[in-house]
Amino acid sequence: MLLAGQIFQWLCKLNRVGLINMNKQRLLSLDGLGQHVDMATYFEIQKTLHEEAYLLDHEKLDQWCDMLDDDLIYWAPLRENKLRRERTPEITVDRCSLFEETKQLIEIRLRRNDSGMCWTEDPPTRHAYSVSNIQAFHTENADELEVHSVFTLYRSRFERDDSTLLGRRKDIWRKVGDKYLLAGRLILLQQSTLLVKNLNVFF
Amino acid sequence: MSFNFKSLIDHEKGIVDRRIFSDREIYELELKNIFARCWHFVAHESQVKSFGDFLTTYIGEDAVIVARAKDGSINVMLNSCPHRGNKVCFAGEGKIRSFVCNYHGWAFGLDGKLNGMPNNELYDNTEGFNKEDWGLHRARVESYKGLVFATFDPEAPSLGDYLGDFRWYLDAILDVDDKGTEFLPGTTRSVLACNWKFPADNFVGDIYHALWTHLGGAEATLKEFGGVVVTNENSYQASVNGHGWEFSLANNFGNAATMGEPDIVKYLRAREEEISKRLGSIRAKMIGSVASGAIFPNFAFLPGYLTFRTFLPKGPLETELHSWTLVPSEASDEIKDKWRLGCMRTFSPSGILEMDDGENWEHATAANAGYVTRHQKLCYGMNPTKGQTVPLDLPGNTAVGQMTDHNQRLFFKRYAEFMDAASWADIPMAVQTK
Repeated sequence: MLLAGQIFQWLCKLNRVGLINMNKQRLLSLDGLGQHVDMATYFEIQKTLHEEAYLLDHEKLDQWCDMLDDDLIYWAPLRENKLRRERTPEITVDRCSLFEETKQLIEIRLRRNDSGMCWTEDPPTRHAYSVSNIQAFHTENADELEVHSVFTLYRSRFERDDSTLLGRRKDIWRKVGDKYLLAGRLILLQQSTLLVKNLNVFF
Repeated sequence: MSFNFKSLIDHEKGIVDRRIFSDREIYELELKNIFARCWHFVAHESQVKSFGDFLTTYIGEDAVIVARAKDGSINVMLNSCPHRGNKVCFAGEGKIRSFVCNYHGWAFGLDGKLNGMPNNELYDNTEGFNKEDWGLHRARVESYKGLVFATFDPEAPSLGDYLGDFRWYLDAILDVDDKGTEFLPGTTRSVLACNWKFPADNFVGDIYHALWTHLGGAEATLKEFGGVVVTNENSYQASVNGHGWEFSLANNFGNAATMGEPDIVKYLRAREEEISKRLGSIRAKMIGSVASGAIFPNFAFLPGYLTFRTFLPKGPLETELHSWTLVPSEASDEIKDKWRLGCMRTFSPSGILEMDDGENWEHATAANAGYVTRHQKLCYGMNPTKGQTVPLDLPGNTAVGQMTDHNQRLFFKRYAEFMDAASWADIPMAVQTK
């Protein structure tokens, strides 16, 4: 019995480090096909997304990182203008991306900010995230919810630098203990030519 | 106002007039004397592999289509209908049989020829009307080892002559094996509020900035490999016809290492002996080393990361950056995928190294434009190895040490030559030795 329990835990861990579960193909297939969650769960999810936006706005990036699960796939594909009649889809897993991260790689990115030598972030950028159009669905996994949202990210820097990025997110949030952790995120920016000089941000 | 660019740029002393980075009149002259004249990179052959493959891009501010026709030829033509001027293609890439203008339905082949239009009998009474006269305006097209270039100037020399001995250097990336290279799928596009010459002169010869600009980014990735190492020991700059490459021969996987993908370094290390047999020991050290390069006027690349990019002008104060990741075709899918990720992580809009560059170029552009400011000069005078002779057999105009403004001075010398020239006949070409 003890052994079976250990094996189960080990399998769960394997699952959570991404050997079984999360991949880009799954993120691409997210289409809101599951049952809508109930009001209490919706409230929990909305609270989680708003908390996430708050942490990003206030550069509390280590705390934000704590909201990411170990097997996270965090993906912002490039956008392209393709004719409707084209047979190949606009977004495929083999194309170059704007972000294609694991939790570990995000932690490396955070080191850049923490280096104290990131001159272009000094004085700091002011961010304001707005998250809306939240939809939350059950998935085939009891502990995972599929969550769609629209975000607006306004950035202002120095005297007059400003930019607005708008996009959709399709997430997998996983219930771990009493909180939700982000296990998968597809970020669909709407600009095929980014009208900004960089993406020194997280979505 | 008429300008004398030789007086705006003193390439010997390294003094550059700031007005070239913001003046509208100068910019308009650049469109004419540089962008309508030079050979411009438009595509990698792998992006238009088979019949019907196309992509759209720009030469200067002119929208162009690059398309592979049935006979295998690659055609480059204006993306503008000769009827009223509308674009005939709004997709970035794809596969197609003909380009049909949305406005009146004029239809063009993959070679740009006008195939027909709705109710073509309406032109029956138009004296001298010939469909052959009204195709999409075509550019001259030539390739160098996978890279497709085009020019709208019938007087331009051949692409081979335009690149000259710079081909010897390019082979260190483009000709390291029999299988050649390819671009990974996907074009990354972003916009910088800077003059196109700042990124161009950066890539042609400015490794100096890496020691300061990229400290934060390099700290994140390079710390365990010993940090940013750039020295003038066993490193060089080479310039040919305004094209330039600054490179280390000591730290020969330095660029590749910062992608944080050790398998790429292993791959390059394993290839070194073969490449050395093919190209000699100098060029075998150039595919991954601490280096950067650019082809005049606005096409650049980085060894190691293998990012290739164009800085498309959108007015004197704006540049559109298009970038791709190049890989050796013979590499395994796993290695190619690591390059896809490593290049994105470092040199893309989210890249931990690229992110720092845009800020510098934007604020250099904006600050230079002030009235009093633009009447001051810029210092391109760094010349620490003056008088030293390069101890190796390297073609082009070379300098000892990669930290010098050598290539940038010669980039602006070339710029002045183009800007002052009435035609190609006035533009000197470096003697070819290789």
